[in-house]
Amino acid sequence: MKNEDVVRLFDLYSNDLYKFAVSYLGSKHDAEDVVQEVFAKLLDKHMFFENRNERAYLMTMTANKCKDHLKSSSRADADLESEEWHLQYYEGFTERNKAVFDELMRLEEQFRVPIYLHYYAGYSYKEISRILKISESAVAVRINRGKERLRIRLEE
Amino acid sequence: MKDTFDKVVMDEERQEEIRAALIGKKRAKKTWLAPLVAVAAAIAVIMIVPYTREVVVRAAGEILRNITVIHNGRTLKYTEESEIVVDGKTVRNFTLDYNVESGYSYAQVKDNRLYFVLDDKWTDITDVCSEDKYIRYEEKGDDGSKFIIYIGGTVSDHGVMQALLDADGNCISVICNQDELPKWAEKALKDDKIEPNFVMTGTGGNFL
Repeated sequence: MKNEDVVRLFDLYSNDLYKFAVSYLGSKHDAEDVVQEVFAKLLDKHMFFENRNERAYLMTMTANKCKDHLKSSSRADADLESEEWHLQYYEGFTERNKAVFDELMRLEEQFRVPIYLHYYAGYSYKEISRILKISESAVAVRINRGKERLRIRLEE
Repeated sequence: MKDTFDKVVMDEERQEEIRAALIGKKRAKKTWLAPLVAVAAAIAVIMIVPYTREVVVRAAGEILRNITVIHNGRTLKYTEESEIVVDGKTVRNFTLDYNVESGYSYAQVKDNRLYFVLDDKWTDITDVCSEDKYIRYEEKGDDGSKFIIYIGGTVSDHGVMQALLDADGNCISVICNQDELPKWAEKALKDDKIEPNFVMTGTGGNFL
């Protein structure tokens, strides 16, 4: 793929992919690395896709990269009480935003990623099943369970 | 959640850094305008191909080569036509017509086992396939061309890739029914030293 095509896609979708990677990995630094790896890979690939499939295609690539990151790193779960964790907050985060962010990151990745994809990124269960390579019924179960856990925690 | 994630944005400096790197980075492989001996990927503007669609339609001319493969009730037809000039380079012009409106996939799952299915012959490949392992099936045409099927992955996440090579071993086409080439597919191309000018991928699921 030509440089200018990859840059066009970067300008259009880098923030979407970044948010998705953050929902997956929780870490700003890791999410930035994933975004860089996804677009660098596009440069080296002789692949093409229809415009309407670009975003979904890139989300799938991002999910795969995030899974590789999780497999290869010997990271411990984020310590949400640590000073370091607070560096993961973003500018403009209210106390409510911090609470939502913390509780989402406390959920296991298998629950929070489908919840993010459905409630924030707006993907259907079918689209999520393709991005994450799991069945639609698994998507439904994970979203329902994750929602319930999130609701209970946020009410506490 | 919307309000929270609206505020999750990439650091601008880091974003610019990556962007600049993409602009300046040299591509790792040769250009996609193939020279005469390879396939005319350049003219195709190949997209992810829905499985019922003809891939490339271009100027008619003398037909140089015709390869037809029929398996599992499906037909793959490759027709190579006269050469044309694109951006000053002479390239081959071809049509790849893959009719999958009927028939069935090479990979089937039954009783939680993965099978390679070829014209009603079922071979259990569950234990020899994985995320980075695949099976390979090859047929040779009378003209020396090769048609290769690869299946890899697991029972719940598997895929099919097919490669068509001409008599000189040059890659004519590679089609994979996954959104992105999985590890086993990349390994298969590497093991067979196949360097496609393009790869057709698809979200059609069982179109191979």
